Amino acid sequence: MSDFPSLTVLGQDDAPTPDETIVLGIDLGTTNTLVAVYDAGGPRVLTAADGTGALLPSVVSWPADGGAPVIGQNALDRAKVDPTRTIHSAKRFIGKSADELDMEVARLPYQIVNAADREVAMIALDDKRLVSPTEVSAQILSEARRRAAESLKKPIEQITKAVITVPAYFDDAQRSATRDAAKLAGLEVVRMVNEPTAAAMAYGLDRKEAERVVVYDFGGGTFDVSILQLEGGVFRVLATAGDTYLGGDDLDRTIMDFAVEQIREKHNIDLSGNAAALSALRAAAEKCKIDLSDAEEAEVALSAPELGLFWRTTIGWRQFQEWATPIVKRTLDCCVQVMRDAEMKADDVDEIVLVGGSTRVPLVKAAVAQLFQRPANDSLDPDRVVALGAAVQAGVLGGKVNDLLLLDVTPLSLGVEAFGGTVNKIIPRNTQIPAQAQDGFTTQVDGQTAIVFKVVQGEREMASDCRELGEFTLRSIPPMPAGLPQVAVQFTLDANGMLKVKAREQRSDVTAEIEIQPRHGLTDAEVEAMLSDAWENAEADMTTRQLADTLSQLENVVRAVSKHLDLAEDNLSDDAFEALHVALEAADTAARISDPKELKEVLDTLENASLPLAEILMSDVAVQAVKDKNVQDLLGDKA
Amino acid sequence: MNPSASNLWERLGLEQGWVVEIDALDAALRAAGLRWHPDRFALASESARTEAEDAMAAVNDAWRILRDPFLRAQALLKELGTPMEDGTEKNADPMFLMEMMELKEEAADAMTSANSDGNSEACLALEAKLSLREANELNAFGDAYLANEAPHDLRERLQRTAYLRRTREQLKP
Repeated sequence: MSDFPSLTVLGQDDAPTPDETIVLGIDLGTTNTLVAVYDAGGPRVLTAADGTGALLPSVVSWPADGGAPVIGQNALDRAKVDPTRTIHSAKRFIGKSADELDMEVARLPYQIVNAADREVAMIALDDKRLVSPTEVSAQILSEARRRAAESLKKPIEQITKAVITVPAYFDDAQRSATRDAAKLAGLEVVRMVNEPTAAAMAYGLDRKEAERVVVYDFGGGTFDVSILQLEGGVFRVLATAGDTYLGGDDLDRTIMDFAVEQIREKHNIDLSGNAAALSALRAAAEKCKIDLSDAEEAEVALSAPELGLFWRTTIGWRQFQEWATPIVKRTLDCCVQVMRDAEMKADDVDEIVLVGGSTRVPLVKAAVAQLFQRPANDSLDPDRVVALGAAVQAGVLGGKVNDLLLLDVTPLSLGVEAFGGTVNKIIPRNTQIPAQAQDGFTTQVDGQTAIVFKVVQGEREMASDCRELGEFTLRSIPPMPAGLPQVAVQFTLDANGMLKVKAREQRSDVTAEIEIQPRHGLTDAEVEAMLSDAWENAEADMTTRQLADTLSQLENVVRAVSKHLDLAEDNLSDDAFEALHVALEAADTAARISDPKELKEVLDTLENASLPLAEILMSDVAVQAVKDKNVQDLLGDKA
Repeated sequence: MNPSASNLWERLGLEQGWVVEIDALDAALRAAGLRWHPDRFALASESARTEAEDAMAAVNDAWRILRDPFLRAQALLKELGTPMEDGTEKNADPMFLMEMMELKEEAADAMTSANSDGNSEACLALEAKLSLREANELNAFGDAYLANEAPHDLRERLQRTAYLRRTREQLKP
């Protein structure tokens, strides 16, 4: 064991007392993102100030004209009209290479390619513009941050810290890509919490009895299952298993595949590569799946007039159940695995908590109940429980909750490739984190002065079957006969489940400061570059957005006024009519204005000039009320 | 409780010995966690966070080892100054080695008959048999330790257990 510096500085007196520090709890989901906070009333999910609810669709759309990206529901609305530039499910690509996504790519409306020089999946919006999944997540997080500031009525500069949940089965590359995304959005990740663990914290917050809880988390794109021991405010994860590439998207896809096949057979139309049709079909398939949760049968339809295609069919729940069975079976295999790892039987489980939208599928509920031989607890809102748990952890980290302790584990074994391509496991899976462990290595050849270490994550025996996180070289080893140098490689896994590596040759005391170059992620330099890019672009983006908003308001007023121009000419004084006329002419050429202030003046002038017209239109309503109201609303209503 | 202690029992504020109450061990983990877990220092300085991380990693490691009777026995041997070294079971009793070779063959057969999940009846039966045997060996080790058996003999006992354990691990998928 390494020597510790004096721990006296860690006394309770030094524990931080950050009264006003706001720490958001963010559930960055494949399909939707939610933000929660912990305040006097406990954890609560924030709803958008504009009344659009708590769910922020995890979708970003980049307009072709190079304008600012559109995020959330507005982006989702654009999926039909601009499918190749509207990105959903980015969480499935984060920290992956394009080759790993082969299976999925054929069904996506947009292109996935590798970054120029590395195995990092990028989304090709068009010939010129590539965006990384990290940037997509960053846009979603920055919108979540903006909404949180609005909802909490705080300046955005005060919202800088967050607990972000990730699938328990996310590997190091996926975690670091998520952290980079937060950084780009102006958020420091104070802790990454595994989603099923977060759910358990929300579930167990008010529980006093000791119990063993299985959290079955089947979301849009990922599946996790964890077993926890809850006792006396301690949430101890016993074991975790999962699949980062298994979710509700896969259920939708069974319906899509069927539809594509049917359309090919019956209409001789091949939809692969047709982004618009595939995007529409994806939405229809998802809706069909949801309908089948409480109906015997449901319709799925696709109309593509440009192809002369009007297709519809009905899918029965039995049919869907048959398609879903192999997918659900994979989740059950993980459940068996996690019980084995926790050295438990189904009988030892006290409660099963269901999390994630896919647990609404009746087959899923039934299969889980059958495996554990008891009905699952579905009393929690599966969409919100993860965000609530993230807020509880934010409460712990912010010092608002003092009696809870979360002890999580690493889901995947970590090791280095040994001579001959096998894996030397240094930290086995399900080890409680933070963790530290080391292993010894030596040279293979006389006089060897450097050793290359490949760091791998996974359960397989051969390194080539595991996921390579990166490699590093320990140099400047003094020449010695083979086998004589003693190299200690130390792994430190922090509470976020992220790895740091140190290596030291003990005879010569050569140490290596190791910066693992991420194989499937962005380098620090790239993140820094994107960060400064974001700053530079922020102002431009903001201007573009303001111009677009004002212009669309202006168009609405022009449209409304134009409808009543005859009425205005007959009833308004000459001066008033002339003013209105001038204002309309100015509005006509407003699209050329590039200064938001100038554009706003045009809008204001037109609004003022059209007030007398509004008064006439509303003559039977109290005129005073008109002055308080937005002219545009009134004109619009009347029209 | 002292996370920087090299003695695992001392790290958790427990008395060194073969007998460790699981409840006491878990209570020690809880107390240590409430004090040193990095979650308690999330908004503190970088150096305080790193220190907390090191402290909690040490606590976690001690807890993991003391909870597992085999690893705990190994830790006791180390404290006695007779640590077990890897792959040096040359003093093992020939009868025992013979038995182990048979067990290994049995394990290999069970693995071949197993389906891809490694879940065959034969595997499970053998795993249960080996687990029981291992538990008995460890109980015997505990009794011998409490009866102050010579460290060298204790080590020989544990080396036998290590054989069983390795064979059992081989059965895991």
